[in-house]
Amino acid sequence: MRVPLDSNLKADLGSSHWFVRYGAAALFVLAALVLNSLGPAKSLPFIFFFAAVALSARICGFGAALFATILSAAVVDFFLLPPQYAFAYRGNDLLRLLFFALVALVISSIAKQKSKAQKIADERTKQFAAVVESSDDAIYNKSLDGIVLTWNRAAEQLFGYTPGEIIGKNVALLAPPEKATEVDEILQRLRRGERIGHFDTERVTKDGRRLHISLSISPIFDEQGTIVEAATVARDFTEGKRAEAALRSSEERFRAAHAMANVTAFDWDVETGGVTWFAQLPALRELAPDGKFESWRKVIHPEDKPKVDAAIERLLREGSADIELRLLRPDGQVVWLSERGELYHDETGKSHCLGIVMDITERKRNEEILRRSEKMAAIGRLGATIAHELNNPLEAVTNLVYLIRKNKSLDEKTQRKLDVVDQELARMADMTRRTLGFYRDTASAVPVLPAEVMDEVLALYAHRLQSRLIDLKRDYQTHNEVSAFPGEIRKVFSNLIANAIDAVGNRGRITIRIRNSQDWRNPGVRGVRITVADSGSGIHPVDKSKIFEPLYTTKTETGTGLGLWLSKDIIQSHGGSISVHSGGWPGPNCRTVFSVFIPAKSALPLATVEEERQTA
Amino acid sequence: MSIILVLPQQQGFPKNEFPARSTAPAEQRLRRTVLVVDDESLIADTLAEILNDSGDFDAIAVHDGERALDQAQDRAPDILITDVVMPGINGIELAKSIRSRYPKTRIILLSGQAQARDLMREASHEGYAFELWAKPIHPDLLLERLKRNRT
Repeated sequence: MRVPLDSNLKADLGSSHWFVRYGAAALFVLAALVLNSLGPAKSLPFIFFFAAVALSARICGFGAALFATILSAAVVDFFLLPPQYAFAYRGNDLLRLLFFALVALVISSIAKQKSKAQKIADERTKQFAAVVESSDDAIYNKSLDGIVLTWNRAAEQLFGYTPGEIIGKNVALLAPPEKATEVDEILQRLRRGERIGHFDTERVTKDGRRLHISLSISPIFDEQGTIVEAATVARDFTEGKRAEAALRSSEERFRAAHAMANVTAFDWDVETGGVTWFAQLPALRELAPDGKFESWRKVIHPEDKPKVDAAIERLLREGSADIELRLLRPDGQVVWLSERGELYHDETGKSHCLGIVMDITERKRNEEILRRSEKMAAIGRLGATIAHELNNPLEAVTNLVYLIRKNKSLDEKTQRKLDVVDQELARMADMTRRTLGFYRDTASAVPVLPAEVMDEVLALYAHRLQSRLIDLKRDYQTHNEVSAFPGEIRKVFSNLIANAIDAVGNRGRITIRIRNSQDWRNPGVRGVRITVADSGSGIHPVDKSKIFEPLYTTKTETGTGLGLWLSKDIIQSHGGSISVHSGGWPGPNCRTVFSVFIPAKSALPLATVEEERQTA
Repeated sequence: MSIILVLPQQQGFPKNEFPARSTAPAEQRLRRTVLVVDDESLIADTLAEILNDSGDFDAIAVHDGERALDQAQDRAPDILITDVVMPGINGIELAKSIRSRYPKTRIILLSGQAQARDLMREASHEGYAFELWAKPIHPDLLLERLKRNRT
């Protein structure tokens, strides 16, 4: 491998073998002798020998110069000074020789000084070369027309080319195709003497990998100050860039995950009350837009404030705390949050709380629904069990009463009382049947005629309708079938009729209409609409919004608060809808209209043949 | 095969909750034989009595499946009315066995228990079809349905 300053090396035999050096010195002396023998030099004795010593000193080093001095003295004495061709000398000549030797020594010592400086420079150059060689940054030199001149080990590792492969080639080899012109631009800038620092670009390795590198290129001047070449330092930051990109995308993913999980993190400066949010939860953004601890504290549900204070105290005392709390929205709705905080001290020793907040409103709501449905199921099972147990004795008593009533010997009063017993038994039977209704009909959906089901239900209530002198009007205008669970539809109708009877009191009016219709919210869906209107006292607006909620009842003594909730559930499971309209409240004849829509083709699976419904 | 699920149904809307009782004597009418089975003897006995009193049926009450099979050994009943959930041979097993021997016998399962419906469904998967009537059933309705032949 080559080092940069090699090219500056002048003709110098200072480091050559002594034989060469001394030989050269002897040659110089001989040349001086020859030159001195030529005619014009006769008047300038020794001048060429000075030159020979000086040359030897400059080129061959101090030793050789010394040797040249002695040799010159000997040659001059032998060839030039009289007596010629003998080493004999005269006193005057000896003085002249001595003077020559002194001057030659001075010249030689100057050469020696220079040679020492040269050695130090060489050493420096070597050290520098070693530094360049061992650098982790790829360093290479190129000429101003882009030819690679030097190539260090890191460059080899980075680009994959060995010095042998790249030296003498154009650096454009390293540039990706779309950046080919870039190399020329760089060279032009260099020719103008510009230094190029931290130029971020891409380069291609020998095996085709792309690298993100940062180039620093400096022009190198020769002694005359002209730019001869350029030194390039290339730093690979592909890894850095990749890590940066990975970090960015992982943070984005983190944020997305947080948004999905309705989770966020915060950093609360306990002393100043400032809160830094990682990302705001939608619920929190709405309630406490500035994210400050104080404004956040204001929206905490009053009942939960002591709990929050206790949690903060625990946090400060034990270093961590978690809590589930409610926020109260202005509209009265509750937002459930789950929070966990950990205390830490920042570099200045201030207390901070790092925490996560999760919006668990949905979960809480689901838990509540589940709790209610579990309660419902328990009630249902209990009810069904009791109903089943009652059915057998009811059957027996009904039969007995029937047989007793057949007895013609009973007086009329007793007969009438037995009629009442019979009616009351029928009512009980109806009740057990309705209680059974808590159990879902698990049979498949079958084609059902709503009018037929309605009549079956009305038959069950016939007695009650009659005894209350209720004016019942039936207006059936369709005989279209819907696919449904007949048992469940019966429950819904039964519920609506029972409610209507309760609402109208004596001598009221109930109107039932059955029509072909379509879903009001989704007009392409055809089906049958059943409306049950009563002339009762109407529904209070407050109740109206809640009547479809479970366990909500206005009939505190007799109602379960389940009827309409179940009805809604049933109708929705059929893909239909149930709604209520009340003409006003309070009023003597405010109509309340329940409207049930059942699609002709529900999403329910249709029954297979074996469960086809038949009449006896 | 199809299951016949009998659901309460009225022809139009009745003036009374139940149709008027038939008071006509049925001397010359052919009395159909009915086998009534219920482990609650009170129910079986009263039902048989009601059926016999109506004049249209010749009913015999038994209190378990085994005795029902004995009873039906020699002669096919026109109608079998049986409870479903019973100790020993249950209503479904009894119904199956009667059906296999006397395909013409009308079989009515009478039950007030949800379990009956599950048993019925199982039977339907095996290809059986019986009528299932909900208990309690008012005698008027029962007679009305029995008189109305299957359509």
